[in-house]
Amino acid sequence: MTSSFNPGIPDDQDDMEERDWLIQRFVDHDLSPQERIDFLKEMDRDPMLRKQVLATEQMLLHSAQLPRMAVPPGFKAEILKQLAPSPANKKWWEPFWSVLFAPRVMQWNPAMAMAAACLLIGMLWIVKQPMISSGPEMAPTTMVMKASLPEGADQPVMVRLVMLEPQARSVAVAGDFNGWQPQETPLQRTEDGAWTVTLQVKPGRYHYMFVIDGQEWITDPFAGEYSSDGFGAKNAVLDVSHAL
Amino acid sequence: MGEAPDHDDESVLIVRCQEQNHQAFGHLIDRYSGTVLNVIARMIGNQTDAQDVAQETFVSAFKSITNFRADSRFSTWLHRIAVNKAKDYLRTQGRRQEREIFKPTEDDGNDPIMDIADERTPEHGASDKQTAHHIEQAIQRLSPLYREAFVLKHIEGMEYEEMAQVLGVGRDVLKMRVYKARIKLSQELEWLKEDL
Repeated sequence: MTSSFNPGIPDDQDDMEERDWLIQRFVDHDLSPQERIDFLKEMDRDPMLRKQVLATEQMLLHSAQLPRMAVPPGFKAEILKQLAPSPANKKWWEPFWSVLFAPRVMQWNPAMAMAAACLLIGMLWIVKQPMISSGPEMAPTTMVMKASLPEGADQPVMVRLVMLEPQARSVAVAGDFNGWQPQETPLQRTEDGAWTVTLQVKPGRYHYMFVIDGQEWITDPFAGEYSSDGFGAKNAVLDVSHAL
Repeated sequence: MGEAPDHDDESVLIVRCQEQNHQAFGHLIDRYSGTVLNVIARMIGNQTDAQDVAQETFVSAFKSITNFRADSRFSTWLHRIAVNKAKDYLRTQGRRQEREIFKPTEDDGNDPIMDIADERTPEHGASDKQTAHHIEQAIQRLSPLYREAFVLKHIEGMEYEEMAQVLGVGRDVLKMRVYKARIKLSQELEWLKEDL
């Protein structure tokens, strides 16, 4: 090659001749436009270089067209045979196991995702309902009982709260009337799985929630009135008036 | 590499395979058995054993197909398994002295190619069939690293990027291996220049 055309070989490829290095880059279309022009001019001047490039290209053309080994008959069948477990070795529970634990990929779309979300919310709402049905024979969960006090006086009134939560280990009530301290007002379990407490409160409006097992705060599902708690949930409202 | 597969269709087949559907896997075998078999055959230089290694490749692929993620093409993932199986074979079996790679089988006994199989410099004017045979032999004389790079690049027609994923080697290193393989082959097939 002429000294004017010397793109150089990387240091780690010093065992490769410069001419070979250029030929390979030319064949791979790796030369810059200027390098390519210089290389083509050099090929014009040097018939041996031209022959070497043509021989390389011809060798690659032949390589791409080499005869291919045909897939022998029974090739696929043999693979599938190896995949199928032998019935003799198959345990009775394996079909059930594979149905339960075989990895599956579900295809989804936004409509399906929304439907699934609605279904989940619906299921959660149902789970939150009392386990004992509130048929007509059931008493209302909240009862305000008239106290034998002079009418019109600002005297305490007896109020009975009832919560149907037979599976709970403890139920308490927290509200305006006890400083939202659930430990102040536990409910007592009755034989039929209901939880009750009788409060003595002055007439007024009180917000409250039940606390199940000391940690789960839920709204009284049968309260006569509700009010937002400002955090996305709602409090039950107990309205105790003079008119009782 | 042949006609590009329909990737939507292929995705469905892969999902079914992940559900242990053998029929779906049969379609993937049909689609890729040719390339897998040829890559392995040229890497190990033995057609008979190549069939076993290729079958082993597909069985392994099916068993681990739940691990396949769509961050690479299925063909790339499958070829990587094939290349690793071929390397395992070469490690355990060693290279055989007598290669039977791609001998023409239709003319057994009377083919003049058989008579010149070991000649490095055949007379001028060799037929395409003879030339192919000599190139095949020269490829088999390459060292394994150069051979696998050359086969994937110039016989299977892979791009360097895909080769890097299949072989787990950097693009520049692979390029250099291909260059050196081509130089070595050009030297072995020096007589090709005489026909130009």
